[in-house]
Amino acid sequence: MKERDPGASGGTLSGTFSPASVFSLRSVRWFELDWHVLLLALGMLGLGMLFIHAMSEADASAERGSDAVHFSKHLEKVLVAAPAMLLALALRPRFLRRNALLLYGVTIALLLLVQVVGENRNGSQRWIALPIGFDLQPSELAKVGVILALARVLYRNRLERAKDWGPPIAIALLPMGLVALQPDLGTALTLVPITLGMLYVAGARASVLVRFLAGAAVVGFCVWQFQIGVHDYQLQRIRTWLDGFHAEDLVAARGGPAFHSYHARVAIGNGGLFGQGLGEGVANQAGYLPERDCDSIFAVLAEEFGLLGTLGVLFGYGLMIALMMGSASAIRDRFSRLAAGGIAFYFAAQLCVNVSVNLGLVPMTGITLPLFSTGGSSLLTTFALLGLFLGLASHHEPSLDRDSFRV
Amino acid sequence: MVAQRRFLPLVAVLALALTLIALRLVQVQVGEAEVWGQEAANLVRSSSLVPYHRGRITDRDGTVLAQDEDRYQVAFVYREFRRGHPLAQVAHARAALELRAVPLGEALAQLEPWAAALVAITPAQVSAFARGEALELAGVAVPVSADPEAEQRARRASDLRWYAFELLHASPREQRELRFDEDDPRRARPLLELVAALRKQQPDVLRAALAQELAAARAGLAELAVQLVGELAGLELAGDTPAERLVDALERQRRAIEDACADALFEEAAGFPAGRLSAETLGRAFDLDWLAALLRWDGARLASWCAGRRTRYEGQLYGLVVPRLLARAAVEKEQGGKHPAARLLDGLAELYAPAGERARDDRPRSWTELRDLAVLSELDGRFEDAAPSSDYVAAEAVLPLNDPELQALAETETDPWKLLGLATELAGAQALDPQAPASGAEASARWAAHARRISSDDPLQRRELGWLVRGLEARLGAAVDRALLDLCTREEGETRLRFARGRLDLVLQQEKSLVRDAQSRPVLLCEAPPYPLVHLLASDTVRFRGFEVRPTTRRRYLVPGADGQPVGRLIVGSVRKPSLGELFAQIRDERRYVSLRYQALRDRAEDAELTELAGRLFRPDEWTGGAGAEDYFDPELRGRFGWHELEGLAGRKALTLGQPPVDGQDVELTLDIAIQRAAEEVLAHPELPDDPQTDEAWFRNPIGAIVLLTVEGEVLAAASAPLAPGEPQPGRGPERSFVRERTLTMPTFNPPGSVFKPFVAAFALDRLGYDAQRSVDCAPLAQGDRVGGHGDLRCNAIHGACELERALQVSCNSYFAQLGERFSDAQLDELEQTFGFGLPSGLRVFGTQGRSGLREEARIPRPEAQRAARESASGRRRRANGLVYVQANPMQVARGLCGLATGWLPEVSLARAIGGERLPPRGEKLAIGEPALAFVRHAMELVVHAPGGSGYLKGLDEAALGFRLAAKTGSGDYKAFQIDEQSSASDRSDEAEGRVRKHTWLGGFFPVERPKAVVVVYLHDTARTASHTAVYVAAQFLRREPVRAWLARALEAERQAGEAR
Repeated sequence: MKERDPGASGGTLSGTFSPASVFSLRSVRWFELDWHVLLLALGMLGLGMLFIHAMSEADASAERGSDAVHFSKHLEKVLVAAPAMLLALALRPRFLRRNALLLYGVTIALLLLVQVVGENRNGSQRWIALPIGFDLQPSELAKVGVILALARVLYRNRLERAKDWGPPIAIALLPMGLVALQPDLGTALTLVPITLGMLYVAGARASVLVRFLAGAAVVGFCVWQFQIGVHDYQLQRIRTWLDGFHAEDLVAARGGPAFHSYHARVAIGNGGLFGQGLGEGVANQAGYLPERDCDSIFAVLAEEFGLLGTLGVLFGYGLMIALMMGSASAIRDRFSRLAAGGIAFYFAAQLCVNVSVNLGLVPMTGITLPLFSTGGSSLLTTFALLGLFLGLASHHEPSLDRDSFRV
Repeated sequence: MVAQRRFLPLVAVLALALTLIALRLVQVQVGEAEVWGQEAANLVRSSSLVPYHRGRITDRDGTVLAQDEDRYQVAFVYREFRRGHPLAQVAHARAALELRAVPLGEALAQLEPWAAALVAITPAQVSAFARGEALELAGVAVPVSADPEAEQRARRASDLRWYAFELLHASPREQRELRFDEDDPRRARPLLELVAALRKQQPDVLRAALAQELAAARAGLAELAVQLVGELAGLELAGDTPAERLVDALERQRRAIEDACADALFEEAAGFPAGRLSAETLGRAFDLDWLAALLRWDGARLASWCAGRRTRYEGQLYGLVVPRLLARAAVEKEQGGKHPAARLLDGLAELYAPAGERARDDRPRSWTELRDLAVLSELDGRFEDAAPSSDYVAAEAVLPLNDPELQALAETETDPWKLLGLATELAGAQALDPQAPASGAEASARWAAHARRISSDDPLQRRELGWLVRGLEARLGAAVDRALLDLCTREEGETRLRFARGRLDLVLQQEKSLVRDAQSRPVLLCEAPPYPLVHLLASDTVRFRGFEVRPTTRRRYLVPGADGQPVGRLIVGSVRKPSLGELFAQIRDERRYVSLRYQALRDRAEDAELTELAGRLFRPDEWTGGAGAEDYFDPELRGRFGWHELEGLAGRKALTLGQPPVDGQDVELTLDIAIQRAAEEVLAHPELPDDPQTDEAWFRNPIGAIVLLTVEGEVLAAASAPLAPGEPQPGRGPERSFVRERTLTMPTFNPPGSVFKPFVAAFALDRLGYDAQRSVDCAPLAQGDRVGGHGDLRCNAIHGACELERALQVSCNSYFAQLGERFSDAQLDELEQTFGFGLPSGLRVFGTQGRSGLREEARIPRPEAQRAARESASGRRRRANGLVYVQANPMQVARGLCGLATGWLPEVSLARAIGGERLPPRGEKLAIGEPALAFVRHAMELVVHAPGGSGYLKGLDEAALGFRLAAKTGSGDYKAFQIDEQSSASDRSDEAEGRVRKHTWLGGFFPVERPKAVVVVYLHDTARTASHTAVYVAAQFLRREPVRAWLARALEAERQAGEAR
């Protein structure tokens, strides 16, 4: 018997649309809320704010003028973005499921819009100016759209036939392509682990995904080897990355393209076992480390907390993601489970890529560390996804989904 | 559950990823902790060198001849000036507002109104400006921006705010408190009022304080300008008042610094220096709006930068790079490495290789491996829209250096100079400069002529290499211009090339540090500031931010002497900065030093090596020995720099680390500076004697040397003349133009003449058993001759029958010619060696290994053709008379005389003590018996004191001198007169009479009864013999009070020592 698609009859925003059909705090089972995830996330956020505050103090002392980090601005962004968590928490899963593709469409529209009205900074057209304390980076919101849209198309799709792979891959590739055009290859590539994770959870065979990864690696190698379709600066980054595995080479190249990698490595290495103390690291003292309040905040953390502290933070972060995965796996509704899982993969991908970039394990690219980094769009996305996760995991809505009855 | 089974592997993947990350973290934070810790320390460490004091040089009585003097320099640090001086703050705030480099002079004229307007700006205005809205401030109306991001409005607004706060001295806390919400009404109030309110002051009080500060800044600049008026005098500066001229000078520095920032930013984006391109191509081919926006430049300033790049690059190329290439080739040659021509070609290839292909160490790759060229092969991937085709990348044979045919020729051609010549021809050097060699053969022949000594100081070699470089530059420049202009016009119409976004990303990442670096470099403003200036700057560092007083040292020679020169300059020597060659020669050691410094863990041997290298390696600004004793004793005189470090920035931690400097050791010379001065004065200005037979020309233009030794070999005086270059005397050769040390060197053919006869006599008596009573007849060689002779040697008179004593007294050449015939060649060689002729005097007490300075010419190699003549009877006659085949410098003659006077042949010494430690006397007993020596001493006494002696009645008697002198005169024929229109009548007459130019000598010891000192006077290029020239100079010197005083002291010391015994 063909299963009925609950999303098919609802349409988007049609018929039954009312605030109650969109938001409902009553259906949230508060005692089932993932308090442990929430507390860990708030702990990370607080820790991040502590670091930004120390950074701000150090910059004020050093009179860094227009280059200074301002804690007040960060706080402002947090306060602007925080309500998004509450709103997302209250969103009804059914509404989300029915309108996932619409939300995806909105994010795609924003990605197209940014090509037209976006502001060009540092050679990239990624931002749309907003009068709310920060500018919008649609590529960050695209991650939300991709997660929801994938959950939506995989809701009834178990990837059992070859043609089942088409829609999810198309959904992932479209924003990836648009983001890569900005150009922001790093952000585009973070969608890959999220997509792969969600495909796996949706039923894809591991061997297929491994083959896909192997194929991607071969393509990547060919691109590198034959220099097809890549910019000179991207190849340069790869070369810098490979050289950077040797401390002497990185030191030798510090004045050139390895500038960022070098300063990140210096900061991390300077942390030692016990760290330099809050605000006392060379990254804050000298102020050379680019994006130290954003993409490179992990380097500051590692320097000022030291190995032991950093491992503690990584453990806490990893625990939060594992708990999120655990909670997601327990959700009976397939859409909610996939979306919650996608959100956990988002945090995992951002964490792993950001930390690996700072440690020189992958080539340099600009990726934020959610809950720590400044950056309004990143904060907005992080809060929204965190709220969505908490809501999806605690909303109780009846589901006749096939998986709901499997043991 | 199925779902849980699906999540579990992903949790495992996450755990695996985090484990990998944790391991890497351990590697970086524990395994590499020391490396990165060291790097981190370097990032926040500002270290500075503490200069050491080079050791003092004193004379034997402790009079300081040379010492380091503490002094100061005034440097200008633009970054400090920009951040701390109201003038710079106002100018830069204005630049942020107007988006043009507002000159400091313009800002000075409008200082008060602009400052007032700046602090009157409101937070609301700043925010609106940041958003792109219009702003009107002190007569400048900035219109609404269509593209606030491109115009960097946010950053400019932040700068405006920052400079305004700096003018008001707002603390970080006050600045934080003055950040308001959008709807806060206080945002509409001027910053000055807001700050005043925070401080609970009336705005007028703050306004008055600002006005007072601006007035103080103006007054400070005026005071500074008055003190620096001398420094500014030589510059072509704009302005009517000294202050305006000073500000114009500072503006020049600012432009130079901004140019340097732009150079660094452009090179970071393009990968090659802007100066590689012609001014026209640079301005026309590239979109440099990003650069102008970063530096707040308008179009005119950008155009001015573009116009100056090529000239600056060429200045560095020909003024710095070409000499460096030569210096490196010279070092390579000295170290027995590559052929200098091949090394020059390698260096040139390095200059034209793409940046990524240049060698990282000091050894460039072989030029025959050069394929791709700088700029041409670096265009790919640099630009946003234009994708260069391989047409531009194909750089083969654009230059002769990457011409496969020439490279192939290198495998078979054995003479690398020919390859260098061929490269010059192929580069088309002659088309650019007609003086350049027309063919490869001509060019290689010119180079081959330089081959013996490659030097960066040789202007001819620099010009030769400059021609080749000019040709290469022209060829590469033309190819680059073609490629870039073609790229610009490839699309529709002519477009400017925009750098790829990724490249600009990199530039923006580094912009802060590049600009900070360029602005933080101190520029020397005043090398020798007067005390009031030092006091002014040091006592008010706040008012004069940006102007730094830095300690340094200067070598001072304290005892003035003849002609304004320090006494003993030629023997004491001088200091200099290390040469390019010396700096290049230590490159490998320097790399080793740096690698050891950065090495995390060092063993004991490596620590010792590091210390040794730290002491040995030159720093480019270090004073080192340049000549004389300063050079020879440089290892002792040199100290070790100290250093101190401040950890932390902006004085936040101010943890002082470091090591104190180690001063050099003092060197006590044997010189008696009063006697040295007397000798120099006599040589520089000898009195014309009352002797019609003398050589007036020499006395007008003296050239020569005086040596006074103790009989133990200590140098009391070693004077040379001239001390300043003079005009050559017509017909007398060019020596008058050369200032050189002449007591140790033999710049010309240098026979001692009859001064050698006492040595011959002593040796003959002692070793040959010669009978002193043997009579020899000095008779004319031919009837009618007015002088006697023997064989082919003429005497100075007809002496008739002579015994040895009389022969010495009257200096009979015939006698010694016949005596010489009794010697074998081996015996004559042994004679010379016995008295130290042809041997080092011993003055270079530590040998010659690794030491320069106090250059000594102990023996001039003679051409092989002269050997046969020397070993003939005629040769022996001449040798016995100290002529032709005998060569000696004054120091050698003096040492030999010590042997005659005492029977002890000392090693000559110039240093008595080093670092307070006495150097022991050195020497050996002379292998000549006392009877022979006594005989000769007596004969020398007669030379001065008996009628007929060549020194008799010449002012050398005991009454005149105050002591009894024994001496011998000597004249060695040197050269024929070069008679021309300007020659004197005297020279013409002498030339007509068959006379030749001579070196004349007097060598003696005193007092006769107990010799204490030996004197040698040597005059270069005289027309008359020693008895009409050298004797008078000797008398003038020996009559000087310092000589008598020293002798009295020496005799008194001896008496006291005797009594003590």
